[in-house]
Amino acid sequence: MAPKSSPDSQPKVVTIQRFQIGLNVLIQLLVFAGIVAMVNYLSFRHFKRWDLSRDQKYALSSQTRSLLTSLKKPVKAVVFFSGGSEIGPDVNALLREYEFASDKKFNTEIVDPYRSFTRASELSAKYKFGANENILILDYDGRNKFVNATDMADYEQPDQMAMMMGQAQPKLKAFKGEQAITSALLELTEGKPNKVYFVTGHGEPDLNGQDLKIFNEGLKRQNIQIAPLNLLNVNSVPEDARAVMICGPKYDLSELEIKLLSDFWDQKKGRIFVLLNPYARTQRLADWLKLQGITPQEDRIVKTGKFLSVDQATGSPELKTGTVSQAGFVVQDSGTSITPKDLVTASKPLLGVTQSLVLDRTKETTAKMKFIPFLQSAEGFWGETDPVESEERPAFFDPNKDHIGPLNIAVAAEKGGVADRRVKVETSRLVVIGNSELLGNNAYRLAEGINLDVAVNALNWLLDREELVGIPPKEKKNIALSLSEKQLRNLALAVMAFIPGFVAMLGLLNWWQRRA
Amino acid sequence: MKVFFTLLSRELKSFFYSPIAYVVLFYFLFLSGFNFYSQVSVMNGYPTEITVVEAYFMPALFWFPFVLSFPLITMRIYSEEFRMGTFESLTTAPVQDWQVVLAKFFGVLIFYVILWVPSFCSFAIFQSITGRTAANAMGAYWGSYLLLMLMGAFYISIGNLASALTKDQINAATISFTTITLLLFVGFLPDIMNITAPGIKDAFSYISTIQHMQDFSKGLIDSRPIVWYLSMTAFVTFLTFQVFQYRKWKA
Repeated sequence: MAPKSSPDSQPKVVTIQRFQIGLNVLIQLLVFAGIVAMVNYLSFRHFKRWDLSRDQKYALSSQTRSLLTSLKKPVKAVVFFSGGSEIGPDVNALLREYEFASDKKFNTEIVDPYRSFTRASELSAKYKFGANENILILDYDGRNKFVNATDMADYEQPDQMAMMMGQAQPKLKAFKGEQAITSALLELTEGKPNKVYFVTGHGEPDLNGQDLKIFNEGLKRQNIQIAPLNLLNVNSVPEDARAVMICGPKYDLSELEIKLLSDFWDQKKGRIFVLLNPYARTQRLADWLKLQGITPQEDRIVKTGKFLSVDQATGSPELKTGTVSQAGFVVQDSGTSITPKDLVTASKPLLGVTQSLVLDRTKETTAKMKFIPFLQSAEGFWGETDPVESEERPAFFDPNKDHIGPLNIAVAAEKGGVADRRVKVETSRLVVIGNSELLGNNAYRLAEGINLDVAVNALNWLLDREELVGIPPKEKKNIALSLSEKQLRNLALAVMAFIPGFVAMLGLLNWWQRRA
Repeated sequence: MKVFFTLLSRELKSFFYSPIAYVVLFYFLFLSGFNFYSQVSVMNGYPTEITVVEAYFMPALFWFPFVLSFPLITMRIYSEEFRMGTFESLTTAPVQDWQVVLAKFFGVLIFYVILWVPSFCSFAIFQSITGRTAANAMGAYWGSYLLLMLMGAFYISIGNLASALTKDQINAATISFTTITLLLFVGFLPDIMNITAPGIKDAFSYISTIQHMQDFSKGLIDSRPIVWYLSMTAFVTFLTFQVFQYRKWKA
């Protein structure tokens, strides 16, 4: 017979069972909590970010990301902003992106000078700055650079009326923190600016003139210092020249100048950037380029199409059919850092007149040249060898004389390189563009800045700065909504009356049905 | 699974039979619409870097109704069963405990999704009236609503847990409101307490809901908040399951 359990032992058994169940549940909870903690720890250390914003308004430019991933040593950024700073939150948010993109090589410390007085004093003594607030200090390999708040934003000064009404504070117009920080980082990591000489004396645009202002500012942000050079006044291209630019000469170079260029190219493994002026007769320059395998053609890249014109009689704008002489270009995938991924297939018009370039592919074997065409003419354009004077007269493609598209507008060439890119050898590099107005302010507006991006990447390739591949950071312009009163009223009615009202109606209907 | 869907449909019906669902929907949509309109009005005529979508998801007018909605929609989930006496019949029915817990969770989640659909319509209405998009890219919409769903799932699980812990709906609402508010503001602790150590700041930033919304509403999708919300939702729902089982066996 089985032993009977006594009434006294039953509560004890139940208690033990409850204790076991409780312990079991506790263990399950602890294990689950442990797993959750572990998963989150791993997620904290190893994560991925996807940028789904089309124009990457707050994400970093591809050039900044390239620079950050190529950092050889860590960078420390100390943000010394007071809590009341207008751009403080933007700077902090931007620096978070720098940290994420650099894989922990870029670290930030945020110091509020009013709340962390001790730390502020330590930093002030270390970096030797006074009572400045609202600065960012970049520290790299024992060197440091200050970036002021005023460098990171454009302010609009108040007009007299606003000042009379007591609104004396300048208004924030645009935040350009990324431009300022990336530019400072470039200076720090490279140590000294890259000197590029701009050849003068042949009717080139004024280097310090207004027309090249945007280009000059763009170069300054790339840590490139540009200086004029008259080849007739020197015995050779200066030793500190990292590259030489020839920008749309109206008159030909002399034989001596060509010789100096040639010496720079051959002996010093030179880097040369040439923008051709299709109107000019620069035979010696063209012959030198032909020797390197790039021949400028005697044509103008045009197409027939509609263009905007002003009616002489009425003064009103009208669309006319005629010759479109502003060549459209398409950025090609060159497979090199000249054309970063985010620029490939970009297509914009070029200001002024453009001539095409033809390549002598035999130089690839005879002279160890490598050609990289990176801008081609857009669809519908051809090389017209008999250009018409007036845009209103449409040009026609003559298959016997004219050059069929797509045509090369810009070509890069490298002499002495090897096929294996892992092997770095000293080479000479050349970039030739069949348009002389690529760098001007008006070209910048016409091409929405793409022309400058192309020129900067081509220059950086010339200077062996392939770690800077990408579109340079752009200033973030503020945009204003401009809704009329009627639009605002309609919006208010829709979102505050119609939508909630519809739900209220559904509720009433439900209540009425239940009552029925 | 058939049982699960039966329970789910029961939960949804119970929501829409009750007048409170319509009251919550009406006031939530009104506040949401007011937030939308006021942000557009403020931005009108003044140059700004942020888009309408970012402006909509950032101010207190968004967070206040957001936080308040969870106690209101979850307080009755279990508490009402206790109050009405239907808890015993639920627990003795031929259904599994996990089916009950998950059906209640997803029932609230579906109602929460219905709560937010009209806000998406607001952006479409804005676009049709003004001819301008409310965001720079579809990524901003995807990011914002993805995060809303993830946060919603987590806070709903907290609300369900609070409801399972007590028979009184007011207590349940108070517990969930307090917990959610604390979680929302924990991301500000480093600034309030002037913590500058990078590791600690990063840890708080990891769980900061407002920081997450700032990124996602720009179209920057980060895997860390996704993992955080999904794992915590699973954990709190597991807790709710354990509490439900305790109540069942205690009854």
